[in-house]
Amino acid sequence: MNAPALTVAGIGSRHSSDDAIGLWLVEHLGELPTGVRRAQWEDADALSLAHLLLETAGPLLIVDCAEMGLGGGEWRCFAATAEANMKLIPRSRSISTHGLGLAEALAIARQLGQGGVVNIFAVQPFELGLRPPAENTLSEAMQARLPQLLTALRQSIYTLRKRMPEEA
Amino acid sequence: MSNGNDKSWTIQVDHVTRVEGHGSIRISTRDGKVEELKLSIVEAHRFFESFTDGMLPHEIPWIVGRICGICCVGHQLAASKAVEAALGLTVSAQSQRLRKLLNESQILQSHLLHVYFLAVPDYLGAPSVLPLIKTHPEVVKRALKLKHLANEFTTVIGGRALHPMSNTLRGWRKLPALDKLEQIHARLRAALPDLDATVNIVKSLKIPEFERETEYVSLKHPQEYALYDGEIYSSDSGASVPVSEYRSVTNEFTVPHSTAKWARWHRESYMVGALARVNNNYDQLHPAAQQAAETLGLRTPCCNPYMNNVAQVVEIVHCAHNSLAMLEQVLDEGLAKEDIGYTPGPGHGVGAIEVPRGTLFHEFRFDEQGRCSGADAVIPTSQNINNIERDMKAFAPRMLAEMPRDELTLHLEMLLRAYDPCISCSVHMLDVEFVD
Repeated sequence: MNAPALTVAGIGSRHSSDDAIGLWLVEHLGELPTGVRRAQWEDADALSLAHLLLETAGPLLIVDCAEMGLGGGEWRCFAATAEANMKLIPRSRSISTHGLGLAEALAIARQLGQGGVVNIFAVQPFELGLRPPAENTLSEAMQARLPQLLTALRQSIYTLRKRMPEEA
Repeated sequence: MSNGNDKSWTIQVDHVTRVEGHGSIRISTRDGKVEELKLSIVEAHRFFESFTDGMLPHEIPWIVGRICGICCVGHQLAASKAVEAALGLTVSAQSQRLRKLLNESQILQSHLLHVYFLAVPDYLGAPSVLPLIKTHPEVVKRALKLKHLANEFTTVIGGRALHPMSNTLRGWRKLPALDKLEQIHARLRAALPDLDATVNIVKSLKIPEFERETEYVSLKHPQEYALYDGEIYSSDSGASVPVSEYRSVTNEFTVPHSTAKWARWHRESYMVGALARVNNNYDQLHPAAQQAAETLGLRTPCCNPYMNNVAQVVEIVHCAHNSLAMLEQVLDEGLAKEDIGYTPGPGHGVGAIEVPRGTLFHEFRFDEQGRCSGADAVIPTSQNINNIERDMKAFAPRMLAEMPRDELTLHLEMLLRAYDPCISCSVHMLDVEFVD
């Protein structure tokens, strides 16, 4: 089977308030352009993420909550490359049982041969505290931003899709 | 650091890496002899038992599961069993089987993480798994694949990989989907060759030769390799005591250099964990796991604590095969929604379970209003610390003359890591200091 032109993957946890924004956005994208598929990598730890990055063929757009020093609900879409003006910052230089994130997962996957294009659609959280189980655990402030964020994500997918060949 | 001609010196390792939590090793020598060796645990107390004060019975397993991100399933299940014992609640065969699957999925997760990412780098001369990506890419890829599979296994059974929420008192709040069970069964079966490869790579590692006879303690069950249930068995007495008498086993006490309590039973210290279980219950291992033990040169009774890593691999093979058989039973019989209602009330109960690092005990007491009025949790690492320090005290003098100080430091760290300690749970570990 041919690889999709673009995979849009949501990551995060539904138990830490705005950390679920990536999962929520990917779930509510609606119909996707031809050649684009969605994936939900919910609650994946860094080692699982590294495996999933290795196993996913073709270009990727990862949708995640990220601490970027921006205002709550602001977003950025950038390529995860050394040349990008926004970069993932590794938090740990060695493997322990805690402390690894997407940056480390991507670094491990890259060293193991993950060579595909990886873009990040990152949203600054308003809050990350634990919330009781509910249909939507996002903060009220983030919920108010959802229409804008969905529009922005769809535009990013459209732009990236236009740059990709029909099949990766 | 002084050279080997000094008459006295000290090795201190502050913050030993690739263990869960923080601790330190301090060795003082004089005239070529170890004068003092201390394994200090420096983590602050966490007061989880106090958190449960006033809680309702069904709230407790989810709260105490947060003691540990690695053994969250074990804490949740031990607490469930203790609360059920206190209130006289029964658990169906279906729910017990799901709990066994959940527990074995967590053992797979934890053992795979420890063997591949925390222990193997020592044996391949790497400071962490990261340099192995370049030198042993296929090993790291296999490790990532197996760890991800184990996470998915826990997710299918328990709802999520970390702190699963499906299990509660008496049974399952949301049953696993049968199609997901079929998929995970197929993926586990397809991964068996990867387990063979895991056995082969561990077989190629040079395990340090060191033996110190000690007491091995684990659960023991008449019908199965005890991971979920059983009585507390000692290799010293060759007999078991009921779980309700766990305090007569752990006999906790304090020492000035450890914020974690220590334990002892029939002798000055004992060991729990994979090696203790394999030593005590070898005959009940799955035949494929026995074959793995033979391939790996693990013959019981084995008194080399470094072989705990090998025993973990044996248990990985056991849990994979045993889980496949249990999944087949579940798929054959199907799953039915069950009544999980209960009435809070007074009572007192103890629960025990084997978690990756050894036997875990939970005890709870409830008042007339059904609110928790007393709790105790004794975790495996706090039972092991006394034994680890005694291993080090036996190992260091033997090796002092023949090993350079750096190599001795590495071997002491490896010895600690072999136990796979969870110092955050026991209160955390490890720094080595050699003191002049």
